[in-house]
Amino acid sequence: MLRARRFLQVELLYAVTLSTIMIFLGFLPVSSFDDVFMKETGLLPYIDFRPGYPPVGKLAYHFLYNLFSRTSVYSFSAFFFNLSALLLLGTALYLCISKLQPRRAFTLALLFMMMPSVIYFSVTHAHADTLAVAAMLFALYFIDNPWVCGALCGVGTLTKFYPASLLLPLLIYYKGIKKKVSLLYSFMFVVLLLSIPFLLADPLMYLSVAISHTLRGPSESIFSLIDGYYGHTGFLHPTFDATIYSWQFAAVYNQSSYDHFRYLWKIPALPYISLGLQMIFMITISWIAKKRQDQKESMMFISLAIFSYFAFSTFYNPIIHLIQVPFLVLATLNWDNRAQIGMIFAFETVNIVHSLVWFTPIFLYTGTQLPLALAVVLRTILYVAVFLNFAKRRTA
Amino acid sequence: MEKRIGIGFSIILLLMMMLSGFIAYTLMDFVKSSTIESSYNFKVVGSSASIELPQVSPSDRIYLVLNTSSRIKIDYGPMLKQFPYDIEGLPYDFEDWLLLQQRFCFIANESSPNSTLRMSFLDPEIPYCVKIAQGEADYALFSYIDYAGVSYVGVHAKALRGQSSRFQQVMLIYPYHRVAEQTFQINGSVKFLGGKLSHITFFIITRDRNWLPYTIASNEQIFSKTINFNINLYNRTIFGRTFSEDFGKQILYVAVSIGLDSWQWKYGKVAYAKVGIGEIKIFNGNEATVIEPKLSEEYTVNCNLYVFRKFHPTTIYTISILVLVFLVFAGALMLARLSGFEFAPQKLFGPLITTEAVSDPRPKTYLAKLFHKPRYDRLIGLLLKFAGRKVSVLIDVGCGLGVLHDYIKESGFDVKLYVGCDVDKKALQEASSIERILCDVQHLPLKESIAEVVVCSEVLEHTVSPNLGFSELLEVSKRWVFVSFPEEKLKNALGFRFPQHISEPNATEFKRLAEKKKFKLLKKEKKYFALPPSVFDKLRLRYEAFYRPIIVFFFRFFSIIFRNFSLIKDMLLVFKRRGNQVDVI
Repeated sequence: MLRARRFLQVELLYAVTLSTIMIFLGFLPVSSFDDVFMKETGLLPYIDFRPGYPPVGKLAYHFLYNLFSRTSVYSFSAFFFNLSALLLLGTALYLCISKLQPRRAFTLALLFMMMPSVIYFSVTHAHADTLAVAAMLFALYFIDNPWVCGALCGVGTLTKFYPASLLLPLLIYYKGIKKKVSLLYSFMFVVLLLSIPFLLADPLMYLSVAISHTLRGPSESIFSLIDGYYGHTGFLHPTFDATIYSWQFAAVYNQSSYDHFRYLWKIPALPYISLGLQMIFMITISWIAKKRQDQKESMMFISLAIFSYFAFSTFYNPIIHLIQVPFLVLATLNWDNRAQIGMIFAFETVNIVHSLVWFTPIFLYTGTQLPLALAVVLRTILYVAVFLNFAKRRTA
Repeated sequence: MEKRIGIGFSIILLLMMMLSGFIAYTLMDFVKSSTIESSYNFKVVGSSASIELPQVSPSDRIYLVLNTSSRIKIDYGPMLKQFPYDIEGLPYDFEDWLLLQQRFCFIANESSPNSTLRMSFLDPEIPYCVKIAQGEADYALFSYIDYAGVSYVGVHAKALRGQSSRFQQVMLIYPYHRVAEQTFQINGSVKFLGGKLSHITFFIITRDRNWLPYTIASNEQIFSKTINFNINLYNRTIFGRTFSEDFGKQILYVAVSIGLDSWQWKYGKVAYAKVGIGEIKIFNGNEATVIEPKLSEEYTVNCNLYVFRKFHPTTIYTISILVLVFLVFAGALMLARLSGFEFAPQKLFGPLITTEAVSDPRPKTYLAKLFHKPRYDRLIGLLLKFAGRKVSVLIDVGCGLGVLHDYIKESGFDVKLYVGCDVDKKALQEASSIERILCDVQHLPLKESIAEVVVCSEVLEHTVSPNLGFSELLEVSKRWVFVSFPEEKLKNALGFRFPQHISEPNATEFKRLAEKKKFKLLKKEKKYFALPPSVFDKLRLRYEAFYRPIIVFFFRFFSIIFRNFSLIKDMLLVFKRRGNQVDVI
């Protein structure tokens, strides 16, 4: 508990320092265009308008934007909201690591929070990924109780969609039908409970959010490169098209191979290969987790299963890094200390190279393809290294 | 019992499935009829055309999709309101063919069976879509045939007055959705017809947001000069290197850009240029595309009108959803019972919040001072108010380490005899500055009415029978009894019971007992604590730390705001003996 106190104190100091630096440098979030669109047109989210993400994460920013009419005030409020979410994520990671490897908890949790790309993408973007990942980590922390796990997965899923992926490893991991049903039931219960207002107002618009999300194309992953699609480009993020249901928009706009939001695969087998790999890896790893006697080891394998979900996803952008790294940290806790930190640093370095494509004028001279392809290939090598290491340990 | 719950749960599950099926059917039924599409194909000669609208309701959306790149003004009347494409506007206009081909979005404000949509065609029809890419400019299109009989699309580009931007750029954009192959080549000609040019540039716009520029002419001022151009992707080099990676790119548009520079003109004059764009041929692999310089006042309009209906929940639908929620809730309760789920936050949050911590009352040590210090302050205030500063005999029942004695001493009380009683031998050994008796509050080895003041602070909840202990206090007191204890019903109900608090003293019961023994309740005070002290104890936060004021502020703030939800309500009761006093022995 002494360490926990020290960690909380360091978090407080971290928050003060980071606020000072980020405010001084002006790295503050800007309002997202769909919030601006909704305010200008007077449309209500999830009733008249279909935002890109589920309500728990989205409405926080929408509320802040509507509360503060001045953009600068919004930026400050969203920044502090993001900072609080990052601190929560740091605490969740600390608690999870301390359950598995108490000695490394302080260093690793702090290391995660100090990573430049984690700081940048969590604090300056009006996305609630930090909250979603925190919900997933807390679900792992309370793994003994399927009710709490399911409820946290439900909250996470309504923040961003991907926390629902935790259900599969947990379903395999839990022994006994009662635990499995409890997990699923509490998940559905929370999702239904939080969705009541939207289901009562316009269920089809609410459903459209999820449907549109599944129609999204690849982005900046190895699958994306194989398909010849290099970025997050194409038809604009939802604005005027989001005032109708997703299938209604499909009637006026055909899928194409350069629109991220309504993507047509040039190699139609690729999304199925990606999904197949995700399923095979997640199920196999979760099955190994189930077979382990030690709960700590099982938790590590479940983290690896989640890590593999993102590794084989067709979608990647530098923000995914902050979702992926906590699970990498948890999955590699039984590695040698140096090897683990080395791997985390390697992922961070590759992500910084990847981020350059987004933020520096380097692509003006070389085109976006070269650094992006380099980052994607390097990351793929790192994925292979991580899985090979696990395979080696397993066979040993 | 478990079998009954199991059957109940199965029934609920069945009902849920049936209800979900009904809801899904209702929604699917609506989805089938949610889109109404009408197609229009007509020729327009002149400049305007009208489309009759179907009847729409206020929340329906109307999308008009026009397959033309001509500049059109649409009069949508008082009943319809146009949505903006997006708030950020311009940057996307050049990238999305959807916007280039003039698709319009409307929201219906009122229902009207006879409303019409009037379209006005502002320019003659040409193969290009015209956009102002930089600054503010106006343009006019005309047909031009030179002395050799070659046709051109004439563009009269003109800057607007009084704008801050020095440059203006009018672009003629042609949608060309192909992948660039090695043989990709463009041939064509432009003719300068008047004014002053800053530049004529040919752009290839690719899907990855690259604009590949090829300058055709710059600062051109020679009237009637024809410039022939030939472009291939090898033309474009930077730092002497050919951009071979441009091959294989998805080309979205090709465009001719006419640039104006206001500084080329005298003050007060408006920059303008007239340019003719001739036939342009694009060769890509085996395919050749010809963009003919053709103008026409006759428009072939193909358009689709969509009415997208919005779902309006019916009463039956709303009731179904509410019943479903109720069933899910009931199912959750049954399943919780079946799976042996127990709501035990203490077990769940054990590692985070625990009640096993020792709440050390020494105020200098931990943040527990937040709890103990206000208690002692309040007690001393009431002692001063009722018993006065001079006290002959004071018995501190459950004195522990003698912390109250230290406070009383610091507060300037004149106590002739201070006696401390406790069951904890170790604690008594430390409290060396007072007279000490090792005893239990339920069996005080003291004579009746021996003390002027009896104080018993936060002790009775540790005893098996608080009423017995309280009766003992009344027995030994000659005049005053000060007793304090926590009321922790909410905290205990939530599962955060402090293990050493084995009973729950009751103020009403104490009052009844006191009246029996001829004591009167003079004062009853409550103090609210939002959280149990053990939380802070466990964190071991130093009271003297720099964040003390913040924590104290928030703690007190929450304790006041959420007083009814406070986990602990601390009671302090003051009793006084009625009638004649017994002399102190």
